[in-house]
Amino acid sequence: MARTDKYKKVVDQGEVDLVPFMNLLAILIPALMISTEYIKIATIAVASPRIGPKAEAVQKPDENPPLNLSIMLSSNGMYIASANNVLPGAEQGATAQPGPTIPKVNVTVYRARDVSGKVKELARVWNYKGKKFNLGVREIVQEDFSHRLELLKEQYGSVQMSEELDFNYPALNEKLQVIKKAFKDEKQVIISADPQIPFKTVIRIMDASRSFTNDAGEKEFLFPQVVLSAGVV
Amino acid sequence: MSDANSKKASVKQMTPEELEALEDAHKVQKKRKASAKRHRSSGAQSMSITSLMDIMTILLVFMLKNYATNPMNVNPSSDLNLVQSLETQENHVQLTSLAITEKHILVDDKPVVQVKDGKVSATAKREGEDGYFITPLFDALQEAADHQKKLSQYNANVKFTGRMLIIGDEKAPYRLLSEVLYTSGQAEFSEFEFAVIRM
Repeated sequence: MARTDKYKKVVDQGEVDLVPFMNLLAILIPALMISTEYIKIATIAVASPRIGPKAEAVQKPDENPPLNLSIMLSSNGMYIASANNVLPGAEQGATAQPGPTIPKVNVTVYRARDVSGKVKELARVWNYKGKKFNLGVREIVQEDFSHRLELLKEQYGSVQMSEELDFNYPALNEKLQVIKKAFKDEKQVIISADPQIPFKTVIRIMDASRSFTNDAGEKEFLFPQVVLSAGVV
Repeated sequence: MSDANSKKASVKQMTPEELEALEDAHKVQKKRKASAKRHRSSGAQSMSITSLMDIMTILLVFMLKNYATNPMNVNPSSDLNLVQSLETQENHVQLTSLAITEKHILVDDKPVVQVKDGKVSATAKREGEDGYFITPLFDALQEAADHQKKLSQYNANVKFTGRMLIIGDEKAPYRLLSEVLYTSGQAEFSEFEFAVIRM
């Protein structure tokens, strides 16, 4: 009798109780899922003119002076200039022209109230030469966008549409394509801005000056090397 | 329905002995059913969860690995909204991080200077209101740079590159940004990586 009891016990221990371990896993996995990022964070490399003590700017003697293409942002638009060269398209009496090279344009802004009652901007659409762009220079397909708008309307109840002045990034992109054609080896662009220009706009300018999609559907670089300058010091 | 009715009718016609016998039979049947149920449920418990465990364990390891190898620890919060951008590169190097939020400037997640309405107060700047040099920020950055340089003396893998990760709020004005960049330049940081959300 005793022997059989012993035997029984051994058999019972043979099966490991996995429930606590399962509990642990069931808690750990959601915790890790929450902490992993679904937003992809990436970086843009930017240089600043070396002001610090490490200033050893070794400039190669070059027969072609660098283009020193600069984009200046002011409250009414963008000024594109080059210190050493005449830019294409700027020959015809550009000095007499008082306004910015690319003035601001009207863009369509979609806004809605979120759960807490705060007005949130949902999308901003640039309409340039019959094409529509969001995020400055990303071309959008009309059907996709109207579908997205429908979804947003469902989510927020009502979406308000308004016109607002903003920088004309698609025009900048186009202008830079023309400049790039004339100066194929140039990669650098100097960006400076008025004091109140927000960080977001600066990033948009970098996006607009980085690359474009050519007619064959391939990506070509414009001026990916960004140097931030302090503007008017 | 009709079956139940006929059953009722037959019950009425039965003698007490017959009824008792019937009840006993029912009891036996119930017992059998219950035992069968118990057997079945115990069978369900011993259902093989090994494969599920395998999946879970693999997931766990994968996620832990993912969690541990992500060098950029950026926590967007209510006063730090990152900008959305296109076509950027992913960063896999641990850099000194500098965050410009709506309320503070943080170096390596430690608040250094307060920011109010997109401005650092004049007292924190060396040259006052119009200055570009933010003294507390400079001190913190120099400390970070010195720390990295010291590390590089002992560890060949660590090198002071003068690169810095800048996590800017989308509303941070250019003036504040250039002040931060100028101060970083003074503290020997001259290459910057701007953190953005890739779209």
